[in-house]
This record gives sequence, structure tokens and C-alpha cells, in this order.
Amino acid sequence: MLNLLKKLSIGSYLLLAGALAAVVALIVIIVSCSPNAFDFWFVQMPWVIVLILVALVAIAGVIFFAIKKGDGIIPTVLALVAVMALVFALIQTIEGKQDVLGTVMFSDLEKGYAPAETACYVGFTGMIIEIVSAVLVMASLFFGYAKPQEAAPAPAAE
Amino acid sequence: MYKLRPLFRGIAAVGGFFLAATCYGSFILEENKIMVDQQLGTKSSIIITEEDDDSLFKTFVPDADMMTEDGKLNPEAWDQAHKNAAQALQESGTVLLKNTNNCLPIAKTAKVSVFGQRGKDSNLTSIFTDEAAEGKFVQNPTLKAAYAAVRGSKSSPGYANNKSLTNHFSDGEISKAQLLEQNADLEDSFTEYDTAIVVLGRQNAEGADYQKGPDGVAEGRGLRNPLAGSDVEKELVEWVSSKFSKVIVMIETVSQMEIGYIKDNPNVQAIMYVGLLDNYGSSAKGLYNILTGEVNPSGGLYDIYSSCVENTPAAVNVGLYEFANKDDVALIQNKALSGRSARVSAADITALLEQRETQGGGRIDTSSIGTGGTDFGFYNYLVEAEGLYVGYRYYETRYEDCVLDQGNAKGSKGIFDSTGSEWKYSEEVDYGFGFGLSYTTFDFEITEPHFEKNGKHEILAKFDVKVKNTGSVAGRTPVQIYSQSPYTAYDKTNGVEKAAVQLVTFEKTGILQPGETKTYPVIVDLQDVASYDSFNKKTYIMEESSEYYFSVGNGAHDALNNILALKGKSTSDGMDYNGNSKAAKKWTYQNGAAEDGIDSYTFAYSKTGEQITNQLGKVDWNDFFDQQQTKRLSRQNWQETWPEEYTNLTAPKEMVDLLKGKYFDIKRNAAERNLSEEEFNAMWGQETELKFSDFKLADFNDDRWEELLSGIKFEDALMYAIQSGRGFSALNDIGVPAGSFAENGAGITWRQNTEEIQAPWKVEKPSTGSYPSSTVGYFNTYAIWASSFDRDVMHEIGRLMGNDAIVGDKPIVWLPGANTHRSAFGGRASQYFCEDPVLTGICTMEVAHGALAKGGIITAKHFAFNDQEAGRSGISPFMTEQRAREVELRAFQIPFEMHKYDTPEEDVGMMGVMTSFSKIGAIECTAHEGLMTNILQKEWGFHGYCVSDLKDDLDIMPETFRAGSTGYDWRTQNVDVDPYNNVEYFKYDKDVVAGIRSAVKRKLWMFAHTPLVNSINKTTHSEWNMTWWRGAYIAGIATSASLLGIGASLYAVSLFLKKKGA
Repeated sequence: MLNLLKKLSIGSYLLLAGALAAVVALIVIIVSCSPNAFDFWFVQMPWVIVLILVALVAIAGVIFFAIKKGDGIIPTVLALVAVMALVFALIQTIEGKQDVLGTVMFSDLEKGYAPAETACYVGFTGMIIEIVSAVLVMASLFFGYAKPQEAAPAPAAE
Repeated sequence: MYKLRPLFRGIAAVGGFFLAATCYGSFILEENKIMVDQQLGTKSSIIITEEDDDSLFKTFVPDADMMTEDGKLNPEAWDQAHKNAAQALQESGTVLLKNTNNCLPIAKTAKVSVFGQRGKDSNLTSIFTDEAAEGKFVQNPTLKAAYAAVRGSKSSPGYANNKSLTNHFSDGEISKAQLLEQNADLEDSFTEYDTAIVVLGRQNAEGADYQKGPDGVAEGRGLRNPLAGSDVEKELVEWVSSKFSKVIVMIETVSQMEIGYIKDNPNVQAIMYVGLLDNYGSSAKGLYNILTGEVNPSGGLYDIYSSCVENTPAAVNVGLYEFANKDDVALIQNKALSGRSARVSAADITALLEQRETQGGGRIDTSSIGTGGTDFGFYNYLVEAEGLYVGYRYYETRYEDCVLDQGNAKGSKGIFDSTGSEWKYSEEVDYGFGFGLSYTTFDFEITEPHFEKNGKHEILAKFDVKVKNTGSVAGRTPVQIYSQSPYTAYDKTNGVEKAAVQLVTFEKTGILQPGETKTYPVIVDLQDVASYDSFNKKTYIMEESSEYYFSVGNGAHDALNNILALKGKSTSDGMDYNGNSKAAKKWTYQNGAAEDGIDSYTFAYSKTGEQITNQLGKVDWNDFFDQQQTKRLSRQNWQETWPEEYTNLTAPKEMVDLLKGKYFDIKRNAAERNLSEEEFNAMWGQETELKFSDFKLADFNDDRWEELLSGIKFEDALMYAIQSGRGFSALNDIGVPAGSFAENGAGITWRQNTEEIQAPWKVEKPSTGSYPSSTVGYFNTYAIWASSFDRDVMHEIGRLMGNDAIVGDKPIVWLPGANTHRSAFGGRASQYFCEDPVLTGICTMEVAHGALAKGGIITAKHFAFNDQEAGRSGISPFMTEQRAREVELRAFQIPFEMHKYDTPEEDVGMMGVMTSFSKIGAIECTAHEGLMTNILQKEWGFHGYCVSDLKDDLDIMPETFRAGSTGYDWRTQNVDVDPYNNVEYFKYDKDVVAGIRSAVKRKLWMFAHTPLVNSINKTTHSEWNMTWWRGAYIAGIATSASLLGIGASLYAVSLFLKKKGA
């Protein structure tokens, strides 16, 4: 395992951090839907879950290919897929949360109504973490995912 | 180049990220553009007037006192005008409740010790300073430091907030021990700072009532209910009063507090009710002037302050009560159907609309969709068994019955603080409604009324009130006029209740010098004296040859004592003090219009000529049953009729149907259409030369309206009718520009600076200075407005709001609340004036009229019956029609009828109203035809804009239009995603279509009387406008797309070159 990790470069570590942030974001967003027996669940939530799972699978794919075959076009495409999946997850979250954001943060309609405030502020936190996750994955693309493989030693002259 | 490939793909990723984000962002912004405009002060569509003419910007012009000589807005003068009004309001509304040993006024240089969390936290602090300064008191620095140390870094400790029903209230006051712990020598500082000011109070919040009794209170605070004094508060007052020779207690609240322990403390010399001070220091300045005697206090208390807030019959039934057969009634209403379309799919909506057709209208059970439900109070009810006896009407009526020894008034029911077994007014009440002291004294005398009959249905009583300043300093006083109607055998037989006194009108004197006497003419419309007979005559009645009274006094109790004095009663009969018989007059009603001694004809017609009769349907719980199920409090016998707490009541079948929204037979099924395609088409989308600009200040009955309305396409009319909040879309076909509103007044906004508004008063936004974004932010709470009894100051506030509407380009103002305080526990008390409907109504009328002259549409809320916050979204309050008409509805009737300002040429009235979440009886107020059409429009002559609060009734939208509402507080602005933008759904019921057409007409008529018409003429139309946020997202899309393209290309090239090189 340690040997495998040693093959990874800074890009992969950023990816792993991004994946961790994506998991945290997912949990936080689910929690934000929970007040009043999940009254604040939104219809886009399944898409958010699916897209974050897609991002996680893509990130795993990047790591897998980076370890097996080194950096290349497949990890690049997968990383881009992860970025886009996270962006679309963020969009779906905003879409689903825009109502409660409006009624709590941009008007006084549900200000003071504790379940709505929880749904709003916890959800907002989840969005921030989603952004952090996407930025980390995006930043990873600026770096290599695997350390360059050392050239095999030349056979000794006899 | 290959080594740079991570950079290239990174650039591509960044581009992709921002491209997706900006594309989506642009979609969101466009979908919510009206709300975005509202928040950012932009205009995504602009009014284009192609040809200038002399009529532009002439209809409504800001007042000269806030303008420069060259016609520009003067921001400083504008700001100062608001602050002057706010200060005048405080000076007129502060109520002095106690002042012994000439404690007040105090010296301008007084050194003060300020106690209480609110004294440190509130907006009062601007009149305290650490070093001597003009207009401020020097405050005790040692005490200030001790409070600061206890409070720590918390700037707002969260004290004194009311909580939801599931939470417990804690006063959070800092104790004597906590202060002494910070500084054991603290008391030494009291010698130099020898005037103590203690500030105590409670907060209010929308959506959360105080919970009555100890159940609603946190453990260990010693409160018997949230509005009683806590152990810490009592100890604080006791400690301070033992250490200082001058102790002033300020009550900063709207919810009535129990302050008997302060009143009865002989070492507390002064008590003042101060409202909830504003954020900009104007109230504090006014208060400073009162404390120092620059201004003499002249307010009268807005609500009665009883010794225990639970000793009123209304408090017996307060809180959440659910029907026993909740499952029959429950309609699990998903929030999606309250307009939160993000939580439900379009397919779900379609299915629900089909369900509605199948069940024949009414509410939809949405439990099958979405994600859990919200009850919206559909199965909550409230039996308001106290009937007419709400607020001071109860205490004063029972007091009179005690003095007259009738109605079993002295019995034990309703006793909380009376010693012994008899009910005693003086032990159940601390300060009466309308009561207030001054640094001087006044004497009142009332002249004999004479009566003037105008036509068949109006009789005016006219008399004078002489007011003499009998003290040694100048001052003002309210002139409160009360009436008393006889409680007769007819009333007892027919369930008509009569309060011992009711406020019928008021004025406020100017400054009277010591010894000066002035005479104030008073006119009382006997319509306001008449009583509503719910059960027999079913209209307003007066009783021939019976004795009525008018009285003037320092509050309701004083006025009643004056009547009792005229009746020959005194302290020997049980009165708490002897009244002044010169301040009351007895008169006999003789009109000759009655057949059986009961005149049910003269006052049975409204000012519009409409016959007044029962309109609220089955509004009392007992109306649904053959036998009486719940009590109705009656002064016939206070003991036998004293309310019980009505829990777990079972709704009968008829009530269940109404609760489920089955009010009208609305045709939705194609086979039952009652409006043909041809008839429908003839009504909409016709060619017309008329434009909205032709209707500036047009009369509601102008014949041309129908032609103008026919020029609108139905789909546009439907959305225009629905959208009644957060923004109003344009109607381009007839040249109607988009409109906007301000929830609490436009304040000083700078929208006029945007390029598209070319008002001549346009001014650059000042680089310095902080101005409120809402007008109401300048002012103390509505309770102080009411306590002022000052029509002029309220009219001035209205004038300012009207001016703000012009300059802020926001003609509609959603305020004030015109509901009355039913009990002390109501969470929304701070949005409503007081417990009295006439005082509420007149306050609302003056503000509305002040604004109207400038085109500001005051939109009073919440029509009607929002008597508590618990279960407010759909709760069913039950009461008699007499109670409804004489209390809750009268408060709205006064500003809508606005008789004071009617002229032979013009019938004026408030043009806006917001309906409540509440039902009346079992029917939603917003869909109640009797309320919305028969009373509001026909009886009171209301034509204007009527918005449904929030969107809790969207599933009965057709019923709502059918009943007479004009639309919804609608937030989803994108027509394409709007589940209710369904022409087919609305178009085939002629009553619904007529309702929609009427809604559009009434909104257009309202807008025709606002500054919206300032910038329009025949050439006016709306156009898409490039706002800064549109520019930003377009630039963002272009930049991110470029990054994506460049990054991806370079990455591909690098791979290609590598491959080629290999």
C-alpha cells in the first residue's frame, strides 16, 4: 500500500482531498434536508447523490490508472468528469435550495423559523464544501497524478 | 511543451468549471430576475418612453421640503425629515405611568446608573455617554464595566426573546450577584451616579407566540408566565430601589408585561412605557427630551396592563388546539404546493391538478408526493369564547357590573390576583387602556351632544370637549372619546353584548400653557356606536328611547368612572375613585325608525349604500350545531358564561367539507364548462388603441377600463393577477410597466440613479452617510404610534412613505399591521398597533392617507383574524359575527372607508390590503366571498390591490379569485416553470375568469394612482435591459468558454506533439 502511495504525485493527493470534501459535502447536504422529518428534502437530491458518487468513482479511476499506467489521457478525462460532476452536483444543490435560501437569507419570510434556518445555513455550508471539493479536483489537474517512473537501469556491461 | 500539459488541462478544467457555473448562474438570475432586481436595485427590463411630453414626472412629485432649489433630491434634508418625524413620534407616544415625588423630569446633566440588559443593548444607549456632552446623560462607568464583563463578548445575549411553543422562555437578565461578583465595590459608585434607570422588556417575533403559564418558561427563573417578572428582574428592581433615591424604570416592550411589582414598589418613583426604540437614535433623542422635561409626556397606553396577563377571558383559549377528528380534516399539504416548486416536479403538479378536478375542487391532499408534509394549521382551531370582551372591554365592563352589582360580576371566575373571593378591578389591573400621566394635569368637560342627520343612514353626534391645563407647565394630552351603549333586555334575549366603554374617536391637543383652556369639536358617527346583532336582526342596531353616554377621560377606565359618576355612583359603591361627571354626557337615542324599539334600519346600510347583514356564514362554533356546544361570555352572568378551554373538539361533516376548501362549484371538467370558447375569446387579446397611460388617476368606474382589459391576452392577465408580490410583471400590450414594492417602505434608496429612470429629482448617491433601506426602520414600534393618539404625526409618517414611494420607485408598501392584540401572548404584537380597533383603524387611516397623496399604496395586513401565531397558517378561529365586526373588522373598515377624507368629489380609501393565513370559521379568509367581496368591496367600497400573504392557498387559487382576492405574494417569476401558469386550468369557469379580470382591473386602477404613471405615455413600453449582472455573466461565459477551448486545444496539441516526437 505504501509503495502504491509512493507512486502518487501531488495531483492525486489533491484529488483525494477533493474526494473527502465531496463525501463531507454530501453528508452535510443530507443533514440540511432533515429538519421536520426531511421536510426540506428536494427533488434534485437524488441527482446530487448520483453526481457526487460519479465524481468519487471518477476520482477512484484517476488514482487507479495513475498507479497502474501513470499519468495520461484517461486520468485527465476522468478528472475532468469528476470536476464536471461536482459542478453539476453543486448546481443541483443550489437549484434545490434556492427557495429556502430566498425565504431565510433574502427575505424575512422564514427568518426565525428554526427548521428552515437549519435547512438554509447547513445547506449553504454544504454548498461551500462542494465548491471546495470541486476546486481541489480542479487544482489537481494542474499537477501530475503519478510520479514519473524511473528509467530501468541499463544492463551492466559484461 | 509536453511538460506543460498539466497546466493546459488545468486551464481547460477551470474553463469548464466556470462555464458550467456561469451558464447555470445566468439561468438562475434570469429565472429570478424580478427578485434579483429587487435585491440589487437594478432593472432587467426598462420602461422606454420614445416621445417626451409635458406630462412626464408631473403626476406625483416629491415634497419641496426634501428637495434642493433646483429640484433635485436633498439626501440630508430627506434623512432629517424622517428623523424629525421619528423623534416627534417618540415625544408624543411615550407613556408616563408613574411619577411620584417629582422624580421626573431629571437634570440634563444628571449622572445615571443604567441597569438591565436592555439598557446596555437597546437603541437607548445613544443618550448615555462617558463624559459630559450635549443631549446625553453621563453614565456610571463602573456599572457599565460590570455589565460588560458579565456579558463578555456577546453583543446580544439573546435575552427576552419569545420562543416557539416547543421552547421555554428565559428572561436572561443579569443578576445583582453577577454584577457584584465583577466588582464588590460596585455600590460605592452609586453615590456619584445617583439616578437609577432600569430598563426591562420583552421581544416579539413573527411565527412564535409566548406560551402561557409556567409550561412555557425555563426552570429556575421564577416566572409564572413569560411576561411576568422573573426572580432576577424582581431582585434587580428591589436592589436598585433600596440603593437610590431616584429610580426610573423604563418598559421596553410591546407584549404587555406584568409590572405590578414595580408599580407597587414605593421606592420606584417613575415608570415609563417607551416602546421598542428605533435604530437611528431619533427615539432616544425624543426620550431624552421627555426625561429632562424639554417635552412633556403625552402618550396613553396602547393596551391594558393587567396584573396577570392570564386574567383575561381571551387567555383561556390561547395556543394550539387540534380537532379530535384530525384525520378527517388533515390535508397533508406539501410545501411544494405553497409555491416551493423546487421541491416538487411538474409531473406531480399535473397529477395533483387532475386529482382536484376529480374530487370537484377544494384543497388537494398532497401526501402522495414530495417529501413529508406540513400541516399549515388545517386541523387547528381556536374558540374565541370571550366574544366582545377582549382587552379593556372585558375589565371595564366587569368593573361597571361590580359597581352596579349586576351580572354576578364579583364572583370568583377570572380571579388571579384579587385578594379574597371577590373580583376586584384595582387588583387585577395595573394600568388601564389609554392611561398616561403628564408633568402637568388636565381637566376635561364635555358639552351636550346635538345630532345631525344626513340622509336615511347617517347620524352624526356633534359636541365639544373643553380641555384645561390645570398644572404649572405646558403640555399636550390625548382627547379620548368613549361611548357606552345600554345593555337591555333585548340584548340579553338576543345575545347582543355591550361593552361598558368603547373608544369611538380621539384627537390630540396642541401645547396648552398652564391655565389655558381650549375647545375641541368632536364628531362621532353613530354607526360607530351601534351594536351588531348577530342572531336576530343580523345587522347594526340602536335602541330607541334608551340611554347612551359619551365620555372623555384619561383612558378607558377614567372615562367609565366619569360615566359612573354621572350615574350617581361613587367610591361608596365600590368605585376605585370618584369620577368627574362633567366629563360625561347622557343622551337618549330617538330616531323614530324602529318598529319594535330596535332601530335595525338606519345603520343597516354602509356608506356605499350596501345593505349590511351577516356575511361570515357559520363563523361561531355553535353555528354548526343545533345545541350550544361552547360558551359565549356574556355580562348577563359572568360566572356561568366564563369560557372553558376548548380542547379536542370534533369537527362535524359540514365543517370538514369547508376545511377541505369546498366553497364554490367551480367548473373544471370540460363537459361542464360554463364559458364557451367564443365567449372567452371575445374577452381577451382584442385590438385597442387605449394604453395604460390614458388611465392616469382614472376613476374606477371609467367606462374605458373594459376595452383596456380586452387588450390583454388571457395568459398575460393570469400571470399579472397571480403575481402580486416581490415584483409585478409588465403588460406590454397595453403599455403597463413592471411595478415593485417595499415591504416596510422604500426608505432612502437610490434606484432613481439608475440610468433608465430619468426623474428630474434624480441625484447621485452620496459617498458618505448611512440611510435605512426601509422607511419603518426610522421609527419606534407601532405600539408607540398607537400610544401617541396623534393623528398628525401618523399622517406625517404616511407623507414620508409616499415620498419614499416616488423617489424609491416602489409604490406599494406592505404595512402596517391592522390586526388587534387579542392577548398578551401573540408573537406578532409588534407589527400591530394595539388592542382597540378604532385606535388601530385611525392610525392606519392617517398613515394610508398621508401616503396616498403621493401615490404610496399603504397595504395593511393581515386581513383578518390573525389573532395568534400558533397554527396561523390555516387555523380556524371561531367567534360571533358581532365580535368579528366590532373588533377585528372595524380596525380595517376605518381606513378602507376613510370618511374623514371623503369629499363630495372623491370617495377616498386605502387602496391595498394583504390577507391573512388564517381562516374565519372554517373558510380561508382569502377565499371567503362574504369577507373579500361582500364586506370588503361592497360594504366598504374597496377597489384596490389585495394580495394573499405568502402562498399557502395556491391549491385553491381559482376559489381565491372567485372570492375577490387579486393575487399572491408570488416569488417564482419564471412563467415557464410555474405550475399554476395553466390557462386551460382557469379559463372555463366564467366566475373564475371574471375574478381574474377583476383582479387585473383593480391592480391596474391601483397602479394608475401611483408614481408608476410618472414616466409613461402612449409610447411607453418595456424593453430588455443590459444590467451589470447580465454583463457580468455574459463576460464570464465568454471568458470561461475561451479558457476551456484554449486549455483543451493546447493539451491536445501537447499530446499530439509528444506522439509525433516519439
